[in-house]
Amino acid sequence: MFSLRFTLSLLGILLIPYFFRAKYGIALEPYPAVMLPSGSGKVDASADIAQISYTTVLGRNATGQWSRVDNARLLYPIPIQYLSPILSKEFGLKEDAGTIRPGIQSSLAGDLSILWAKHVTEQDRQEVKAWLRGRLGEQHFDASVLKVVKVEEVIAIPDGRKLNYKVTYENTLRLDQ
Amino acid sequence: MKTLYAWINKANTLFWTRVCHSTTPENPQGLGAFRVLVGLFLLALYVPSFSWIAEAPQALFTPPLLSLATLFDGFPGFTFFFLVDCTVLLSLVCLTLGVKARASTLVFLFSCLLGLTFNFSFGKIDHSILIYALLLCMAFSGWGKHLALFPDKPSRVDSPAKSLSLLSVLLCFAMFSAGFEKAIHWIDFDLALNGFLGWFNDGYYLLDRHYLLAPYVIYFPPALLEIFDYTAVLFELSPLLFLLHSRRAWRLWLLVACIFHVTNTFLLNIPFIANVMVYLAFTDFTWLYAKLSRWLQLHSVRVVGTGIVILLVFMRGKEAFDLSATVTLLSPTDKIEMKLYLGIFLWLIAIYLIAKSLLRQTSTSAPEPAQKAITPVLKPHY
Repeated sequence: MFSLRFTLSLLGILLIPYFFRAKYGIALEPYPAVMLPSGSGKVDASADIAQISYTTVLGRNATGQWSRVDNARLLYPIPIQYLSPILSKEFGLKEDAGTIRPGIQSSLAGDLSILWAKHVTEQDRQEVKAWLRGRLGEQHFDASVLKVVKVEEVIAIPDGRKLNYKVTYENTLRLDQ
Repeated sequence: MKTLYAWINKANTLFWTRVCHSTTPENPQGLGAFRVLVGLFLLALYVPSFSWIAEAPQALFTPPLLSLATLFDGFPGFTFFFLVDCTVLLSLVCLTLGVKARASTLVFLFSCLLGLTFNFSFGKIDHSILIYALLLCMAFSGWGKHLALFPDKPSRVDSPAKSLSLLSVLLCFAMFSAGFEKAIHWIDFDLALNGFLGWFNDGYYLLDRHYLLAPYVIYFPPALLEIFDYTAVLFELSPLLFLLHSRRAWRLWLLVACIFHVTNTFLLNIPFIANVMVYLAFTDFTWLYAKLSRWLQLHSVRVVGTGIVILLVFMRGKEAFDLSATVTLLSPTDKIEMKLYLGIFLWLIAIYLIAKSLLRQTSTSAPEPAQKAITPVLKPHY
């Protein structure tokens, strides 16, 4: 049978990481740790609409129009589930990108994120620009530019019609400079 | 003070005695068959690869603040990930075939965790930890002693009862970590706000999860959605009670867990297949051990088995080292629908096996009273 010392150690190993996540937000979730995602957010279930917001990438096509890039192909082989955190720092091209990470919900997480930030060098910026140029070219977009946009949509339930579409943020990234 | 210590010590003993009673395997030989099953599952469907990380631009490096990767300035080079991938594949083959399975399980586990630390350095941690918790616990279960090419020698660190007890507690805690915050926010007796719908909206509208029964969720009345919220909280916060109650109750919770995951696959299109093996660890695989022992006497079966393992290794190796999109035959990351059907298939098998072990236990053997001393390993019964 497991000793009391083992049980107390186990409790520490399990509870300390959980405490960090619960108290300071997911930015301070240690890895590895025995935890599953909580996902405790709620949405309005009474209305006949769904309000959604997301960040995506637009590219300029051959006719000069901005249109949605296939994000899975853009990132491949990086899995698509990492799109959101990657876009939050705009591929590392945003100012102070090294300090940006999702889930900073406390001053401790914010301070540590700044203190332990990975500095994005000019070489890193040029590398990611070249990488993006190649990926956009594969999808026949203008390789010199892309836009990161945050969108809020209102969708009718159940027919799925878009009732409202609003761009709340956009930033154009020059990839040829 | 002494009395308090004695009381805590007694409570600790009582706790683990009850947990052991609910989880001790019927037959340690069955664990050998389970090892083969886990090895083939990982080889065919779930083994991670890491060489692709070397291709990622350094500007994307965002390691978890509290992780090993935060000590690095960027993603390591291709040689590092190549060596990790080779170690992962080699140790997994050894685990499956039973070549010093205790050591190979630990090598596989730590190689995967090392690779995953960098895998999760794009700003998000995925929660696949239970399959690795399973491996950590099973490394000390003695699962390398049977059905093995080079069996593990008997060791004092091997204990099937302790391994599965620890795994069950880790599983309960993982569920608690998911359920506690849900309980605070979702139990609100307010039909206007819904947590399940939050999961659904993200998947349906942002990730194109439109398969199986997902299109019908939008027609569900708020009262039904509210029931989903409470059911999820109840399910995630209750496993420890079932675990401490009895062996039968624990298996009943595992059965409910499988049904929960099938429902999630149908409604939310989230299959979460890694958990299949974690739940199956608590069922009896003596029947599979008997079958495999008999089949492996046959030369033709050994040849076919070796061929299957070589084919899987080839496929996984090609997938790990050839980054073109055409080689993802056995890991359908982009084939969402296929992954969902596979998930349903695996969960239905798990439901069948856990229900079978639950019913057989009900009809054949009454569980021992909790206060009795635990027999670590029950007699095999074919």
